[in-house]
Amino acid sequence: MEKTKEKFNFGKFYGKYGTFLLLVVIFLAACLFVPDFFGKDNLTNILRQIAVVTILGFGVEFVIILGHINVALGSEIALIGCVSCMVMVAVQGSMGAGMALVVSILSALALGLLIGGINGFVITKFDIPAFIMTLAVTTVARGGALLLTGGKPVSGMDSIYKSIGQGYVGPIPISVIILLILFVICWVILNKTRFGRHLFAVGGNANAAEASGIKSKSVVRKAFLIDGLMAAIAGVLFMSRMGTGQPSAGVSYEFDAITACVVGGTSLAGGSGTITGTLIGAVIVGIINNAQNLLGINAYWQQIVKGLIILVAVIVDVVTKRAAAKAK
Amino acid sequence: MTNLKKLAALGLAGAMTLGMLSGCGSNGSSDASGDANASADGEKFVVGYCNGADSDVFMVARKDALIEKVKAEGANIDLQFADANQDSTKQLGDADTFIAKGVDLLVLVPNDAEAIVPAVESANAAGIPVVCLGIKAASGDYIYVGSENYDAGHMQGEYLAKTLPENAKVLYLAGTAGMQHSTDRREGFLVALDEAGRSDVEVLADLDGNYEMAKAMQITEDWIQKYPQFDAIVAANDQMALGAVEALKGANRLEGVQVTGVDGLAEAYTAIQNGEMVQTILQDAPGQATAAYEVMTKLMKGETSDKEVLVPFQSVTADNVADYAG
Amino acid sequence: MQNPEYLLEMRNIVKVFPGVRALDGVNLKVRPGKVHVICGENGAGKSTLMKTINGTYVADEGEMFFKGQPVGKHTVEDTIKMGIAMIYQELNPVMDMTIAENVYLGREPMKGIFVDYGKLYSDTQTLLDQLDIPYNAHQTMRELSIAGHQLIEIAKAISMNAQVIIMDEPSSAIADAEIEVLFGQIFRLREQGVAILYITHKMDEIFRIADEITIIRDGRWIESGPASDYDAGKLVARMVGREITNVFPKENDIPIGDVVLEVKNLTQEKPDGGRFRDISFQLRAGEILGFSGLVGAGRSELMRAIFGLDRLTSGEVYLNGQRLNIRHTADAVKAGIAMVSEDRKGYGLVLGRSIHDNVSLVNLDQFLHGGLVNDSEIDRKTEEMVKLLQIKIANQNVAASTLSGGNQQKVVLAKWLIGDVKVMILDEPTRGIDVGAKSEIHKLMCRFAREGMAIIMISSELPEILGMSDRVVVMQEGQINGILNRSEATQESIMTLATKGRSK
Repeated sequence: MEKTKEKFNFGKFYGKYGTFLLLVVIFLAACLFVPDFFGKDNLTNILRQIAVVTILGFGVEFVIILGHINVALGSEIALIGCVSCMVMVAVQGSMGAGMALVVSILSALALGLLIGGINGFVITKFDIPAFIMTLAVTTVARGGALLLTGGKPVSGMDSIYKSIGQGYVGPIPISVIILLILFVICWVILNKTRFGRHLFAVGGNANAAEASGIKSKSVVRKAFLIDGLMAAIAGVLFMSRMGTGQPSAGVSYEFDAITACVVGGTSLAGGSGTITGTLIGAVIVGIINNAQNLLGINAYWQQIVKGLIILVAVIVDVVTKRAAAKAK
Repeated sequence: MTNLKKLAALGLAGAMTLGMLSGCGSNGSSDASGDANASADGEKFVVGYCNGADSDVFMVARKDALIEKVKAEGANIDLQFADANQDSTKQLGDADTFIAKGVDLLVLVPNDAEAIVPAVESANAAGIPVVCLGIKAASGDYIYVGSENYDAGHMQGEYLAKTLPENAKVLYLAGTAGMQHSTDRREGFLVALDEAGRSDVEVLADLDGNYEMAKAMQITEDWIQKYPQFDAIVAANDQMALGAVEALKGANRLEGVQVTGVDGLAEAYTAIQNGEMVQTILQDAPGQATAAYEVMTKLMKGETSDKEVLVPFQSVTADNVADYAG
Repeated sequence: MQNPEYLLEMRNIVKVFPGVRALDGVNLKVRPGKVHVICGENGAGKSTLMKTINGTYVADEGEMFFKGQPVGKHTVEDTIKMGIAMIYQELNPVMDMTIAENVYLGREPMKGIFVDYGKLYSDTQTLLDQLDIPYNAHQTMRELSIAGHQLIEIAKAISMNAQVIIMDEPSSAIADAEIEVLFGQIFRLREQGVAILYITHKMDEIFRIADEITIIRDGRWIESGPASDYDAGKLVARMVGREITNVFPKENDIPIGDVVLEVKNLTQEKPDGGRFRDISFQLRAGEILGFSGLVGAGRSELMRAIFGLDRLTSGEVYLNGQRLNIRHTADAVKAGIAMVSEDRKGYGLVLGRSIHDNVSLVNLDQFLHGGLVNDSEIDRKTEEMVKLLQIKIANQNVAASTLSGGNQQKVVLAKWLIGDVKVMILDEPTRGIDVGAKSEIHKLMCRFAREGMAIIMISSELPEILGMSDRVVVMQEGQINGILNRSEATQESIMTLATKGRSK
């Protein structure tokens, strides 16, 4: 049956372009029905608003492709972000704001790598489900953030710290530029490097990957390192956007990030997913949040709509995959 | 600065995270442990203090102020703490633990007026006096120490009624939907405008910022896109007001917009001094702590206390901010 | 109008999947008490026909009659009630439940609202004993081999009083000795008037058990007739539409070179008993070393350990005289050892990924330039492999899951062949693969050997072992019972060694 002619198959077609179609439909609907939606400023606004969640989504995408998960991202960005603020405040007097910013960012990245490294190490070493491990990290990281800051926001950073989250290069927010650069980097890692290929192989069939000479545990560890690094960047961006280090902020951001991945066509079972899909998924969620705010829809409905989006995205994903599988 | 000391605590955080290598994630939220000076000394007056959330800036400030007060007075009081971490169910468990221990006084910072009632009733049944701090319980026998949230909103309304131009447009950043104090603050604000005869003022939108800075910032950014002009943003707490300020500054729209919040955070004072906010309503953490302390000493001596000890909110504006800041 | 001499009759069955007519006018007449073998290459539509009978698929056209009565649209539950049981090619037993629980899954004997476990186990044990299946009803399925799962599945069908039992390649996972048990069952059922619908690729089996034969090719019915009308050549010719002169074409002029792989005293012990002990052998360039034995003899476990998928307890492995320390498959791959697993879907392919991705998986480093993968180079190399191995695919971006077994196996071979392979370990390389593709793979093996590759081939099919091997290693219970030269190796000599019984 391998000589099957390529006939049109909606399941396959949707699997490939469905997320993008969904984006187009939602975008057009918003343009038509939401006053003040269409406009350069509002579109830039949406991109700036989704930057933190999307970057978290990029990171967790690597983990989800492996069939793992990270539910600690919200706490991780709180801890890492607050630490970066505290480092900034501590060193800006002695070494100048510019240098202090570099040190602050480097310390955030180091902490991100440390957390990601611990996640990956424990999960592979003891064969603990990633959900359980990161569930534990959720409370540890949140507790750590509150402990370090004494439960109070960290303030007093030089204004240069805010420039990452709030500044512009020409008409484009710096946060959006960072988002796009990370998009390109993650896309290349996922699609054009040996690690990326190994990631899909291990996520799709760990046994077959092992039998092809791939060290699957090392792949898992690397994925969590990337995840931690993205959490670090997102954490700095998050705090710098607000101009203060907020130890209790970021609650449930991990689910927004996972939602972006899932809406973008990533299967939680692992083995498939794209960075472009995650970006599109995040934009879709961003547009819907923005449109609801512009329409003044109340909080109760916003929560319901958000939940329904996830549900519909997952159902569509499952149904189309089943249709595609049947078609072969 | 103290930040250097905090930085040293980084190492501690690292060690703590490493501690998880042993495979057991510690549950950071359940710490019904006693304070440093806690002792099982029967002489001491034991107070079980159920905090709502140790992640809440104001609740922590009030708790710290109480600890300081007890220490400063050298009172023979043993303060023991539990943190419900925003979870009403956990709070009931915390209270039950203290009741079972047989504390002399139970202090509750309710997460929810209705949900806390069983704890109040259990304490009543056990004959343990109860103080509700900051937020009232819906029923049961207790002493209320705190402020009327309705008043906070009312003060915001009173101030803006005086300063807003005619036909002003206002945006309201509400606290978490479904919580009593969120509702009270909004109502106080609207009633005050009404009482001042400012029916010309239009509330353009009213969205839930969940008392979070990031959320408020995002909503304000969207409002900026939708409304080319507005005169004020009224926030149900300072964190949200500060978030609104950041969003407005980012879009160069702060000019001509009056931002007001509730809580009296240091950051809000700074914002008022810089002309970024016009007002905050000081929910007086030390004042509430002092009032609570006074109730404790009365009960300790076997005296009775008033059923309601109100610590008034205070309106802080550019005129009087110097008295509060620093 | 219906002819009651047939227990089951299918007329002009058409089943269309998007893009393909899987069945295109197939007829089938099954008499009670007969073994009816369905012959055809993989992809001919045999499994689809069986699934249409048992209600997994709904036919688009055609009629079905059971005992002369027309059967309309039906579900799997309906056919089970009628007395049609199907034993699938790939079994999914509940691994951690016992044999008894699996046999009576979903229809447990009840005492009130509780499962009657006493009856459950005694009934199952009686059944197993009747069928000469040497297991205890309390054992969990996890303890059994794939062949064991197969036998339990047959027991289950018999326990349901099935009148028609469909067996889709039941012998593909079973070693020759155990097939006797299976055939014993089939003959016994036949005497009781049960009709057996049997799918297999093995010629010797067909002529041992078939009473009647139906041949389908490319979804079309070719012909039906009594088995006595056919011989192997005719049957294969009708199936593939061409004559195959030699099914196992080992070329005997391939030069044998120096020793490439040598293993000494390999032992693997596990808490639940050893897998193999004291294994030593040599393998030369250009040689095909066959590994024969009953299922469970430890052949696959031995190869997995040499390849680094499992740990060795002790022993030494030398490649070209150099001692290897293989701690992970990556070390084996680097040394030039390749392994094609018996479990193609589990260990061979990432089914959800494309041919392109699967072919490049092992030797990705070849295509790295400055850390980035050059996909057009992979395209070219994959195209080369597709031509070399004659892999039939629409394009190399289709998922591996869409290919037939033979083509999947070729993709697995391709992923190794683009690298430098010194030793190729093939575990059941042609299991579940149709006749045409099978002989192609055998030709490829000869070609690799001629190029100097050293090949290990595990096979449970004796004709394949005899046809392809220069020497045959015969294992039993984790030990080597003997190594036979090509001239000494016969069905009898191998089976004697494989079953000789060991003194502990």
